[in-house]
Amino acid sequence: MSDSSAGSFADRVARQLGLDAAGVAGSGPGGAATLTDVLREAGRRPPAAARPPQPRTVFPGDAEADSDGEAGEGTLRMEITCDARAVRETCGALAAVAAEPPKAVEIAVRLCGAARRDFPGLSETAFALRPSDAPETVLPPASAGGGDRPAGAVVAIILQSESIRFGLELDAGAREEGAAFLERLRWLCLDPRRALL
Amino acid sequence: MAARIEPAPDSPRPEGRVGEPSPDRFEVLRELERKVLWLASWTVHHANHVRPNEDGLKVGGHQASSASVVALMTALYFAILRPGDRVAVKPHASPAFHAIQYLFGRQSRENLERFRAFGGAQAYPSRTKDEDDVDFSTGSVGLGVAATLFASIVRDYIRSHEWEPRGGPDGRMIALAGDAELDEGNIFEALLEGWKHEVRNLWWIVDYNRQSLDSVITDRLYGRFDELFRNMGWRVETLKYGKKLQRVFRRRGGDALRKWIDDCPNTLYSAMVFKGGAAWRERLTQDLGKVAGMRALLDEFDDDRLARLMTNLAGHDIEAVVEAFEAAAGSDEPTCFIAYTIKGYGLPFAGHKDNHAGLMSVEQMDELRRRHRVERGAEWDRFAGLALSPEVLEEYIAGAPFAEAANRRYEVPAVTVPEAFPVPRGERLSTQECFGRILASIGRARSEFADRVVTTSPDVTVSTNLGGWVNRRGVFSAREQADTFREEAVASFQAWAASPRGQHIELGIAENNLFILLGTLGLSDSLFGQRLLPVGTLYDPFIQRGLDALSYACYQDARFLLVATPSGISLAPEGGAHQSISTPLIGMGQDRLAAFEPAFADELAVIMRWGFDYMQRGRSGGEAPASVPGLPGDEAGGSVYLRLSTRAVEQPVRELSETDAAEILLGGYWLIPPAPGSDLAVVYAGAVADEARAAHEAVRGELPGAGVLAVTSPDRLATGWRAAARARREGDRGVRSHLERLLDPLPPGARLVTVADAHPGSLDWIGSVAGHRCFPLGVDHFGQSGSVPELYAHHRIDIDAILDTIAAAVISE
Repeated sequence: MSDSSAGSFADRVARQLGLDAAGVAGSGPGGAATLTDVLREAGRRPPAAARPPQPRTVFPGDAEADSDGEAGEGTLRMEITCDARAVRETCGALAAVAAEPPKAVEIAVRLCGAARRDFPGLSETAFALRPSDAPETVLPPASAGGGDRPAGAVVAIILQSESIRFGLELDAGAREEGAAFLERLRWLCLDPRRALL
Repeated sequence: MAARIEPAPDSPRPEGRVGEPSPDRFEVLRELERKVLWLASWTVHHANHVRPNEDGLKVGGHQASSASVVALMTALYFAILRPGDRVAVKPHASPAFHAIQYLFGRQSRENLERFRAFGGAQAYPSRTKDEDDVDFSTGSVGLGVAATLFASIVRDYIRSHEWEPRGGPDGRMIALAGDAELDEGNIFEALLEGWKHEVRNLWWIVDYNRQSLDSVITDRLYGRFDELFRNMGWRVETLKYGKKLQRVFRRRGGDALRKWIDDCPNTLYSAMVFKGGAAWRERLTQDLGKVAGMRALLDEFDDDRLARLMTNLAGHDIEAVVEAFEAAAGSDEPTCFIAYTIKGYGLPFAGHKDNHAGLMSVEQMDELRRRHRVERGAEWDRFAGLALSPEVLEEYIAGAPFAEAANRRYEVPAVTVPEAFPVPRGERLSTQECFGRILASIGRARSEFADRVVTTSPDVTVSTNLGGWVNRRGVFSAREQADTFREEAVASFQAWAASPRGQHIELGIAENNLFILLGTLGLSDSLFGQRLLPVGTLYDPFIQRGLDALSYACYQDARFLLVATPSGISLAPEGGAHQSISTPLIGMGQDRLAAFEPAFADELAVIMRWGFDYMQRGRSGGEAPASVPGLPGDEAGGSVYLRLSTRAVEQPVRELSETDAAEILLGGYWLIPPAPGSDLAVVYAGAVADEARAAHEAVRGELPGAGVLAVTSPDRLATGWRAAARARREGDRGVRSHLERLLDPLPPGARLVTVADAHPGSLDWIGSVAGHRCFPLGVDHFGQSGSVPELYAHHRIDIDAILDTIAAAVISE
């Protein structure tokens, strides 16, 4: 399904602002005016929604999927994205995250309150932060367990420009607790102030 | 009407006053009748003249309406009713009902003292609010009467499926109806349905006092009532004259007196009743003075006795009433008793056309107190002022058949609901189609759960996708009925063989009947000790046709799954008369009804599964699973309303996690999460999912941080939000609702573009939850025939409108 109306969204915004998009100096493909161009022309700031992409529910008709690959049989794989800048700005304890890519840093994600009770085995989990365009296995291999991670868990964290993607791949043994943890983590990541200390 | 009353052989013969013979049961019943009249009158008087009045508003309480049925109710409860019988008492007789319960020891003095006050006995008998033994709530007149008819069908349904109703094998469903109540159309809709379903063990007792709320009713109505009921296959028993009048009619001049009363207009009779004995004498002398024997007959009565004679209608003659009820008890024919009564009988405003809301003055109450020999301070005494000893009366009451069962509300265990329902697969599906497929899959299974599901629909079974279920489980009928089309080898998708084992109750196209039937099916566990899981379907706009009956069913705490489909203007060619607009607002406003509007098959499967569990919670047996997050109050359960659509939408490829399912049940989730700090989201509900997604896709390049919030239940989101706000006000500062958490990524001032194939008010309130700016889209005018694209464009809920609104939101300051 696509936009049935003629013209780009920037054109539509321009019309509502009483502007002729064709007359706006454009930075888009072929010199077309983008939304940002139109808003700048009108003396307005671009909305925050003009910032980075997010994981999406996949529909058959989607032109592209956001999956980074198939998880193996018996495993569960999910990814979450949050705003790295928000993490840095709001979480003093995560100051290390402010390190510029491509340096790898380690961060500590510590659950608190109800989350700690819900996921006792995951109350403190160390993550490695690495720049990558693809999921990357870090820290002990899946079968080793160890630390505060459940056995069979592989944690991958990928830094992509302004977003952090948390990936958790679990084998069947750790699936139940890990999946619940990841769901919780997704909420935490939407607002790191909730649980990242 | 038979002339002689014999006490039933097994009637109690208690010892009476010392040195006197034992009273017969009618003597006891007459004493109890006096006490019921006193207590009902005093309860109302206390509420209006004794209890402090905090707000200065009239409390009210209908002394006259109660008085007209005191003999009928006394006879019923103290002589006729068995524990398995169920009664709907006319709403205005609530004081008399509570008085009777008080005499049975099932109502407290404290509640009577707080009649119509907070926490006290209710103005109209209520299953959910009263502590005494209310079988059917009443209040909106006509509905309780019809409820007894459908309860008789439900009872027969249970027996036909070889589940024995508790409370005895032949419980009667009984309505005590006001005559003005018969003006309610839903009663006649129900009568037709009752005839089709061959109702039995059903009594309607009409309190024929010939007065409505405003005035005296038309004289000729009696004949119409009689004919109507007979045409519907009912037996009609008319209780017109009491024993005294019957004796006088047999005397010289009696025929003329009878003819005079028969011909007397209701208005004149009522006026004479109010004016009293002297007026009766003057009028009868004027009209009948030349009739042979009449003057001598009148001279035998002083004014008071003449007044009592002329008001000796059968509905106030306990012997005549008991006789009629007992005569009818030997048959299971549906029976209508038309009992002549006088509104306000025994009270100073008897017969006055303005007495409906009238209250006795302090002076009038003192006079009543004197007549009833009730000492000051003994007003609440159960037997003060009666001629029989308390021991005699206690023994009689304890021996009444109705008193046998201490608890007439049954508790039965919940039926286990399958862990998950199968999710229909397909790239593009409508929720209506998915509903039919899920229910058909339930019908294929062999399980107690499937056996306990019962469906019903007002002539829209096929068009609401119930056909698959009906093919599997059959149509319910009192007797076997072949599927003639099948026997004649006429091809059809629908198998309509009917039998007593069928699990679909087909109704005529009357939505009141649907909701009243759902209301009684949904009380089957409590009324009959057998749990049923009712599912009712209808077209969404016609919820409004039966809205009062729906509210009534919820008020009774009946449990059912209401599937309203199709909905909205997506029912495009059908035009404005078949397109619903405001039903989501009904879903949000209706208490004890959790309303959902899913868009996708997997959402619907989750909601339906939850719904069958939710229907069984709280009242008896069912409990909320501890692992599933819910709203405050979810543990109490309730009914569920699904607003579905025939419009196919693209289905997501996903496997829902427990968290996903929990979010769907809490009312919404991010279909496309916004980037943290994003200031724009599209919020949609139901059939416009494609439009919301497409609009988002169109702006994705420019506004990649925008989110799409899928609302599966505006009702649940709003309920949770209000509950959290209340909890915070009460000191639990850490409580946050699901919706507030959902909106966390959006900073204050962020723009929400809301869109629904429904009134925009169903979603636009979301803007107020966290200080966001809302740009609502929806349908706020009647629809018309057209295609979906035409109508969506006309009502501005299409992609173009959403994009325009996003643009407006982006540039808004």
